[in-house]
Amino acid sequence: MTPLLSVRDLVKTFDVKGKGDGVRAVSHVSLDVAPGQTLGIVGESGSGKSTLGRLMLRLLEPTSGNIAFDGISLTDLNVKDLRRKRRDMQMIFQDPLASLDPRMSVRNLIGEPLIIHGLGTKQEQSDKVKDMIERVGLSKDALDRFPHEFSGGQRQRISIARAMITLPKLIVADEPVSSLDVSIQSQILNLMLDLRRDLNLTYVFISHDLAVVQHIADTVAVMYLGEIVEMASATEIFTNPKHPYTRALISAIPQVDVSQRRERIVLGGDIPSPQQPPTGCHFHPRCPVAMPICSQITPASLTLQTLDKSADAHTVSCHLYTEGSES
Amino acid sequence: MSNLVRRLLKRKLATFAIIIILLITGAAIFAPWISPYNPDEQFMNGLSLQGSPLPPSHHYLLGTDLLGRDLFSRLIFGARTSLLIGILANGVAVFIGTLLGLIAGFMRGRVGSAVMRFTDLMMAFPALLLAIALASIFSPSLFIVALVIAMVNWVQIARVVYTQTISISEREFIEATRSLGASTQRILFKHLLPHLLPTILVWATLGIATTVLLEATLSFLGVGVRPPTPSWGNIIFENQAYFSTAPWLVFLPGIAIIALALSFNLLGDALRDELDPTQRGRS
Repeated sequence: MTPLLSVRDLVKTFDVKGKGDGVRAVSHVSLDVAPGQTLGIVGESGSGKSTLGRLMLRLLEPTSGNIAFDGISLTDLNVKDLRRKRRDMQMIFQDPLASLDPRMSVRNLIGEPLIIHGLGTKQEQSDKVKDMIERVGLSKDALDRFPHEFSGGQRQRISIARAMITLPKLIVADEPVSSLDVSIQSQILNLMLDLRRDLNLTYVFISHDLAVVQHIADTVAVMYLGEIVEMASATEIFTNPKHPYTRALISAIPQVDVSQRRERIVLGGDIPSPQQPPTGCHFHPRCPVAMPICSQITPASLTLQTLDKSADAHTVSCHLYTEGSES
Repeated sequence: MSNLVRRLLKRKLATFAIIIILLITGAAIFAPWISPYNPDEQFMNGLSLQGSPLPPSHHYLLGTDLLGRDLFSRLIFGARTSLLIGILANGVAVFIGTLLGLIAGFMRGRVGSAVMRFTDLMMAFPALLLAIALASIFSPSLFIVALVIAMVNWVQIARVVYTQTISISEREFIEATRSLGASTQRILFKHLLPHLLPTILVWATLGIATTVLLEATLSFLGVGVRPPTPSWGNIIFENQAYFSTAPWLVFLPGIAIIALALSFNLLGDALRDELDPTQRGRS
């Protein structure tokens, strides 16, 4: 299947005053997202996952690399065409209170994308807004109220309605449930799953919470210091993680069932400064199984054999493995 | 809109302010009909035997000024000048300041720096000196005085709007709106401007007082409104020598200026609160 979104060798460097090279937030990232699928991007704060999400929608200009979306090269679009294309690709932000204009009523917030893209007559727009608000599980009474009058979960429902009203093809959700209560998180996740099915959506789902990603994603990419260190189908990642970093992350997911509890791998220290990344493999200073080679040579991305041949490729960047080895 | 007026009238202070503003505006419009005398006429019995102004009496309601003219009539006609200057000069200043501040804050980069350096230059230059220079180039008429004041007063507004624009455009909902595909125009006028409104309103209403006083200063220096046309500012300045013997000549026009400025201030505060959905209905 042709991917809906295809990212090749994407690099984003932020200039830092007084520092020559600047900070490399995203470093040579390549990935594909098939239509109807959900790609989960996980990593610690500072791993570059939000930057990657914004680059995918060209909310940030990439330093180099290509983004193809829906058969066209996003990186080559001019400002006007890009703006028009945005109806097909929307974003959901982490904090709905910050990302919804506090001076606009819910009716205007949800209807705004329709006005921006000139979709339908006034009557049709009004009908669509009413339809959408009910679809995300709020009542029509909510339309004349303002964002501050709602709870966090309700506000995120408003954000979702706003992102989906133009019936986009791709939604990039940047930590959409991280600011919410655990009990509300699952409601919002289920709503997103329902809408994905009903509206035929493709998601890029960014989160630091692996439990959440496990619930929603088909494919998972693990980021560390601007690079994707491991990528595979969700089942593969969670049952058969390869990269020591992924293993450490997965061991940190809380388990209710005692018999299922794994040995906890605790990583020392913090994510290093992207201004002065460690030599060789960026993860080696914190890696429990680091070898001498790790501090010298940057590991290449390897494709491993998966047991299930139909599954997506399992790629990992680590010196522990060799190309084509059994995963 | 009528909805907004109704909500404003629910606020006591705002209602009070609206009444004062309407009274002053009414006085300015109907000045020839309500003033008891011609404001420029010097009365034979308008000065005491020693030649000093007369205190308020049933004949001259608020007393007379240094030339034996009726103060009440002069105050009523002065409302015309002061109101016109206060609204026109201040309106133009707010418009220029907002536009330049908004553009500079939104574009940043070289355009922003250029605009703001120019603003700094204007700020560093003594405002009064500039006003005098401008006023002496153009022959002083009411409109010229208003424009001169505007040319001096837009600077602070531009500064404040500039910093506010930067702070608001960093907020996430602006990025969110851009991610929807909104044009720059839409972001500027539908999202940034409503958030700037409180700041602009406060500056616009505060500016009325300073504008009226600046006009008074200019009149005093001979480059403002030409005498004998009365303005609240020049009544104060003309009569300041009599401050100790006839204090009402300074206090009454002073009170008029304060009432005008304060009413606009109160109205501005109420408007700001009513226009903000998170504050609506609270007083």
